[in-house]
Amino acid sequence: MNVRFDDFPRPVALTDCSEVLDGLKTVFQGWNIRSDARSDAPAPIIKLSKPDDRYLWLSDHIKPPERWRKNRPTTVVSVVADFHYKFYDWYGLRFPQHLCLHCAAVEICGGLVIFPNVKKVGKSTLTTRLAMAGKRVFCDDVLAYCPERKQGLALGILPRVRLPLPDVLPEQYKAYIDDHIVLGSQHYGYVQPQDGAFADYGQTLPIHAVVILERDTETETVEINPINKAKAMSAILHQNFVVENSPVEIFEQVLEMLEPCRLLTMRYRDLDDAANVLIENIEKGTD
Amino acid sequence: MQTMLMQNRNLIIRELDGDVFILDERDKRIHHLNITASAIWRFLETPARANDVIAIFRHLYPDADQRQLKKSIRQSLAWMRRKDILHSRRQ
Repeated sequence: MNVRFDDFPRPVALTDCSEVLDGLKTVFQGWNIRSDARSDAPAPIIKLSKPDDRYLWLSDHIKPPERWRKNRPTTVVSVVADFHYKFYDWYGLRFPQHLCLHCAAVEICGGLVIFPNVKKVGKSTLTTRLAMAGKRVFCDDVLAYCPERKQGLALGILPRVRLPLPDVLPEQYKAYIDDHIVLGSQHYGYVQPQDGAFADYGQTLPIHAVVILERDTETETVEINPINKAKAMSAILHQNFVVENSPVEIFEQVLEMLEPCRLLTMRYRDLDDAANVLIENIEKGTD
Repeated sequence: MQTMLMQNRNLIIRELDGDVFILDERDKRIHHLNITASAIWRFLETPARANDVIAIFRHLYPDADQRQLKKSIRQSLAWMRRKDILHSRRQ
């Protein structure tokens, strides 16, 4: 069976692994993933199959993660997670004019607040906490940015949290995650926010703020401070992994993107405090 | 014979808030230079030896830990050469 995603002419072939389709439909939202019965369909970009008790990934253009060489996965959630990871490469090939920003993004006050990726700062945790507060999540990993429209574009991929959740997190948050995991393993879970708190593929909004997160186990308060463009630029460019485009073009596009944005750092320890203070700060529009 | 260090003139430079960004069209890479590397880059607009770079920094920052300063400059120079941001020439 070949399946198609909206806006991608080439299908993905699923052979003896139709269960993967359910996983893809769960995690990729707004893509209208459906069976492709076209007689003149182009060749599949990726061929997934299950010839034995493990899955097999074949593709000339989108290679599987390295671990597939020695240890092919046995579970649907692993296949979907790896497909998710590699999907950004496919998206970059299909839409080279878009920037793929490695960040989380949440709608607050009609604009996107983005959190550039910094290791181990709890980006996905804060993102899902903001979803719990009713804020619409655009992504917790990669946001497409259309320079022409000057808008961030949701890729409709559910946020994913590492499991088990740390004990220090608030009980109410842990209960929320437990209630909203729709696909997962013992190591991670995809979280389906409640209605209205997740943006399907294709939803767009302008970016209003860039917030670099800093976890600090010592601090008692949430500190939000302005930063300069250079620091924001560095955080974003460091994680921009569409490298086919001209660096000069990318630099100019990001600079233009940053122009109307509030640029901030947020240092925090407590998750609930961070979410509440951030929302209040963005809504008030003050540094 | 001595090794002279110099800027790679094939790179495109952007300055933002005083920070230097190096745009490398061949490798499709963007480098953000930290404060030390930015200062080295500016100094090497005129080719100089590594020891000249260290000497000028010692002059500019007399109160800094001199061993740490030297180590930091050596590391920055090595990184910048590795990334082809600086060229070297024996003369």
